[in-house]
Amino acid sequence: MGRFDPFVRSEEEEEIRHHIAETVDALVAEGWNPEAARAEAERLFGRVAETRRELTALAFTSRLAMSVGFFASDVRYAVRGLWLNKTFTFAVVATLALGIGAASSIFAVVDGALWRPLPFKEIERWSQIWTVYEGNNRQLGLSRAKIESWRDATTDVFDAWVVSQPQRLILLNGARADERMAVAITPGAAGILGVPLLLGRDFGPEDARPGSPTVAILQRSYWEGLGSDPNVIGSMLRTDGGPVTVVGVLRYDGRVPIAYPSDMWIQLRDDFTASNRPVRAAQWLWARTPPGVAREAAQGRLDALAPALAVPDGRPSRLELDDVGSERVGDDMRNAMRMLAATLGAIYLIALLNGVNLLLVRRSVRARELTVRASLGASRGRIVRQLMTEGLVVGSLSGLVALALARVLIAALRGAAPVEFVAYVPFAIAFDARTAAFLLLTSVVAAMVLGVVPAIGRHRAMPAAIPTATDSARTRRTRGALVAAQMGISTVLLVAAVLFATSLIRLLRVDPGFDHDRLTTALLPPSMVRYPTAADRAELARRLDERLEALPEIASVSITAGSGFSFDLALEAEDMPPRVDQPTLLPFTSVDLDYFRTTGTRLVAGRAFQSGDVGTDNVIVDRDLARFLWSDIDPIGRRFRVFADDPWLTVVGMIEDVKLTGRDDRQGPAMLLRPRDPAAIGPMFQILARTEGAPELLIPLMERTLASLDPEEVFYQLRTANADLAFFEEKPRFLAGLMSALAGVGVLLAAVGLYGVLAYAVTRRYREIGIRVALGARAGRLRRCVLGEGLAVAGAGAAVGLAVAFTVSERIERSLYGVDPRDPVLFAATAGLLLAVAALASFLPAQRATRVDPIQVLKAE
Amino acid sequence: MPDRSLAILPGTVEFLALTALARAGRMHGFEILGWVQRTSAGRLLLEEGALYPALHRMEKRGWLAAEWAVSEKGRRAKYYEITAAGRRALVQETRGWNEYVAAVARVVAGGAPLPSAEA
Repeated sequence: MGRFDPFVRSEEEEEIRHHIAETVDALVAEGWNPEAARAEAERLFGRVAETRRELTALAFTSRLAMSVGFFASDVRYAVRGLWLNKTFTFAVVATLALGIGAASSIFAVVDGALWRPLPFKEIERWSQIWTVYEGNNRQLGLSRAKIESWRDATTDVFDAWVVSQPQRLILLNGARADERMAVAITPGAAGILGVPLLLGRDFGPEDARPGSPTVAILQRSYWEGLGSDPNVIGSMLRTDGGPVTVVGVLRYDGRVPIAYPSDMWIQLRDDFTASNRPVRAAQWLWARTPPGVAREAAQGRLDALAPALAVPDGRPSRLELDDVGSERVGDDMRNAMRMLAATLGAIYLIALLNGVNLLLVRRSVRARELTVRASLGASRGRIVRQLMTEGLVVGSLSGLVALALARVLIAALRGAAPVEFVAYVPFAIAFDARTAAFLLLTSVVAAMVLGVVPAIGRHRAMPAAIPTATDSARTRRTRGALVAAQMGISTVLLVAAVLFATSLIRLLRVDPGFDHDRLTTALLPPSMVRYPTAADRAELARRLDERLEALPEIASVSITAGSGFSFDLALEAEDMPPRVDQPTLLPFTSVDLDYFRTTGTRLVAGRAFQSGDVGTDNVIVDRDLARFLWSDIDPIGRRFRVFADDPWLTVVGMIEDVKLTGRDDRQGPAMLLRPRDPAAIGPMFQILARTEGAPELLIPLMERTLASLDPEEVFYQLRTANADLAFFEEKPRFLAGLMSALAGVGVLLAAVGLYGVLAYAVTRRYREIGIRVALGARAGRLRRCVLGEGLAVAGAGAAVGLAVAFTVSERIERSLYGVDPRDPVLFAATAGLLLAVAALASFLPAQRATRVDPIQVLKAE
Repeated sequence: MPDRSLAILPGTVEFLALTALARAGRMHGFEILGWVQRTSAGRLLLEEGALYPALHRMEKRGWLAAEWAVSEKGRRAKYYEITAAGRRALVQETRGWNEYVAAVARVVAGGAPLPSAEA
């Protein structure tokens, strides 16, 4: 009795000792020698002896526990048990670590975009104001007139405001123009919002006065990029908007507006000027309610104001308060993020169900051991506590592996995240404290669930007769239901992945309406020092055009200027009733006479620009804009305007649908072209070069040509048109890739779960299968039987999953392009794919069932 | 050990142990095992792994009373004794067992009427 511990003298132990001693005596009386008698007695007690060793260890550890704490010993016991079942442990830990790691990585993405509170003082009191036009078109931004009337009329429900509007500033300090993003912001914003300053001072009331000199507070990252000069305060920046004096540096980048990274803040004066320009409209308005005033009350005041506010631009609208930063991702991205959040939960749930399933299998295997232990006096509480400890150990182990996995995944996601996400979301995708907390929480919950669920129902099985080799139908049903649930959740994920992937494929097939395979484009903001006037810049453009045209590799060159987007539109055709629904934005650009030849954009009606059009209000619209304004009426010769106070524009030509803002141009479908004045050009112009060869070969050629003309100037955003388009495809690519990966993980886990349950069921039913074989069952029939069971479980799960997907898929409609979120063909394909995976997962256990040898099985019984 | 032992039907361990204690009085586990073996002429071998859990169950149920005492050989042993509740349970179990045996016999005899086996 080598393993017997003399210090352990539980009653049960002593009773067994007594029994063995009596057996030895009896055997010795029969003539055995004492040594052999002892061994024989132990052999006879064989089945219990194994249990007893367990019991001994248990009793020993529980004694220990009384002195050093139950927990440590339970952990040791659990670790020992898990070490003895490495395959099981590996399966559970791999499953959970994959689930927790993937869920935590998605959390790191979604948290910054949706949940993480912004680092501003009393953020809960701040609201962002949106304009909601009829037809539920919600836009950021208000005209100055609206802002002023709104502000004056609501002093009782708002006690502070921050108005901000991005401004482009071109720095002229160096040899070449340096374009920087500035935000014009209400003076005092840093103080009100609690954004701390590292150096210098906040803007004060004196900076708000009309005509005051322009001052800047640098963002931390920009200041560091300049070399972290501690004496930067008081230095002067020469800009295209006049001199700007640096008065402060923020301790960290103040993301106001949230979705707009900037290099510096400049003051927005009381007369709505910033640097030396008037600000026509502000995009971002934040208002703070005083303590004790609910947002609903403030909203009530704004609603009462709605009729009065409609006056300045005549469009019926109301103002809506929402959380500050709710625009940190666009509406479609936000929907996608919410879906990702749901996916996070789904993946976690699948992993958890899988873990529970595996533990249930293990419990069945151990039922005999547990029952013997229970009947030998281990209390129910003790056994439950041990099962829970085992869950806790598995959970912690999974958490550790998940930690390593999450760090890798998060780094990969940071690399793959679309620019739109990285730029707009004010938090980096990183394994930060919140992600760590999430990982910890999900690990602990997993540990609890894994501990508690297998422990539930234990008492019902004990201390009844020692379980026989086959499981109860109830246990089998439970495990089947768990696998079906996993399959169901995976189906929903798979549907989402298929929808996104199909959407991406269809998007990439869209013709953007110009010859994107043949074009290279670049921006040039010439130095304001060497090219101070519009005529100087036009002359530079002309010479550049000439030199590029002379190159044999270049077929055609066009120079456009004054491109941009109009927001807060009031598009109106002269001869049509006014429209309340408006597109979010309208891209416009001034083009020269070579534009159509260079871009390959086809004119479908009217004529191209002629030199006589310069200086007139003659414009060319694309088919989208024409359709918006006049439906199917021929637009040539008709007039419309973009803003209520703008002059009427006359349509002289119509081009096909151009998708300059990416192939998915539902956000701003229309396009407006104006004739460019060849003698004057704004601070920045665009060069479009067409080649018959590979467009990327033009990049070094264009650089060299510019250098030969003026070695101090460089192009900005010099790239092929395809690279430009790809920028807009980053988001759908990211979503499609991420969803496919997550659905893959989900389906893999579910397939492993299905495989595990079937393989286990086949093992447990060897006897039944053996009898069937003995009775003449054919291999094919057995295989069909197991396959059928697998497909039934998977099919039930998939059916429920498809139904759920069908009811919720509409929510991602805005993130999809050209795909019906309820497309029956895609749904059917998803179901087929899932069942194919299920069939594969069932095949191996089915194969094993056909190899059962009845003779061996029945002998073993 | 003789090979002619019969398989113990599941659920009969309690019945056999209870009968042993009712007939032979106070015994410890090893004695119960031996009594059943002797009384059945070596045909019924209780398994230790089944006997002790059964004894503990019945003790918990109040069918048996147990106490520790020093055996004839000078060893400390746990002695079991049947209680009044245990006797009532035994009457019940015995009746059930006899009905079962009679029913099986009737089936074996092709349904022919047999002399009553009720005790």
